[in-house]
Amino acid sequence: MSDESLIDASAAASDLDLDVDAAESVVDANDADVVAALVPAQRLGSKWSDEDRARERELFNIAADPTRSNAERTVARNELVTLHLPLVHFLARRFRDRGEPLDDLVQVGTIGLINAVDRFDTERGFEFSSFATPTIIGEIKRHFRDKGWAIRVPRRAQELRMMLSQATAELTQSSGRSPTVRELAAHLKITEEEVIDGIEAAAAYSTTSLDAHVGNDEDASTIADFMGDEDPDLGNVDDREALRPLLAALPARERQILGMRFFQGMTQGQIADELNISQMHVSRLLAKSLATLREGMLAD
Amino acid sequence: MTTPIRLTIPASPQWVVLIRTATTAVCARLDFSMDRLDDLRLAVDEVASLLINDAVPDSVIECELLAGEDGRLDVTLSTHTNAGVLPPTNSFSWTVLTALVDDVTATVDADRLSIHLRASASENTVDA
Repeated sequence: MSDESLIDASAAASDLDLDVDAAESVVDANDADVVAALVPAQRLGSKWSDEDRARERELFNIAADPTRSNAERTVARNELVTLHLPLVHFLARRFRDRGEPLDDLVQVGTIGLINAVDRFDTERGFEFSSFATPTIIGEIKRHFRDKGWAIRVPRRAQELRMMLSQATAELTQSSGRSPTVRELAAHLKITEEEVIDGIEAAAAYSTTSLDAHVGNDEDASTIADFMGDEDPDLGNVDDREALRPLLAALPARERQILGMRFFQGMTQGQIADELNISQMHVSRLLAKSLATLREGMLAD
Repeated sequence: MTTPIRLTIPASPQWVVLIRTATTAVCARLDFSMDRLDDLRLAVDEVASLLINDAVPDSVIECELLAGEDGRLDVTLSTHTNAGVLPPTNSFSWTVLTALVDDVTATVDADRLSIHLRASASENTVDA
């Protein structure tokens, strides 16, 4: 996140910064490509070339190939997302006169696209675009439904949240450790009370916007392959039988973070480093996963 | 800051935010790193929902935050429960709690269940 241009690209994509992990990594990895792909949105209207199609198929094969390394599969997945961003842009434009910034719609639509990429099964013989369209539109519509959070979290708090996320990353980078509230306040030239407000705003934000996501991932078992042998060892936990299906139903990234934090004993900062996401994001995902597991255990 | 901070909330998830915010404010005063602060917030959330789940209807959650001079913070949450039994220490929930804070203990006195967390500001290093 130290690279200015990455931040610019994210900001351009949405000043709400809906940083679902996958969206974050895609935008971070490839901002030039993202921007390039967004420009020729009309391209959707023209037919794809045979090369485009062949490339798409190849990428899906790589992404689904368990013999490939995680890195290779992630790169393929990111390229697939980038390749189809014009579709998101095209669909988002259909909703643009409803009081939400187009950039925000593109960003939530991208989340739908990422979900579609993860769930697409080439064996079934669908065109990817027809498979992805309902998912992307669904995510955009969900965004309108979930607008409640923006009312509860005032504008100022949203800005604070973003400033904090960025400052935490910068200070961690420069000092090699997680900063304190005092250091964050000094760095941002705001009061400690404002930092505290911002931390709570970040939590409120995640509760509303991410809860809507729960239970949306019925095909998680295919993503579970990404985890491979990194499945947390639940050896001594008594309720592991009840937990297993709940863990399996979590998005792979969340399961991975849970494992790293609670079974490998890594700190949030170390996880953020390892996965190249912000520490606040790690914290939000942990809170979300724990809440999901709690609900699941209670429902039993 | 040796005066404990006490907070009483209805045993309902919607008020847990008050305990979280109070915890954040005290941690800030003790110079907790964001890592440790976020961990304690998660732990407080976990304990609160554990207690809310066991609380008798219309009861309250009591929270006490006590800052030590050595950058240590003791958080105790308690409520009236029906069963008056200790939460199992071999549950996932407990595993999570022990990973998030330095120390976690549960005690039962008659039908009152208390869970105590101890966390400290120090010992935070990130391998950059």
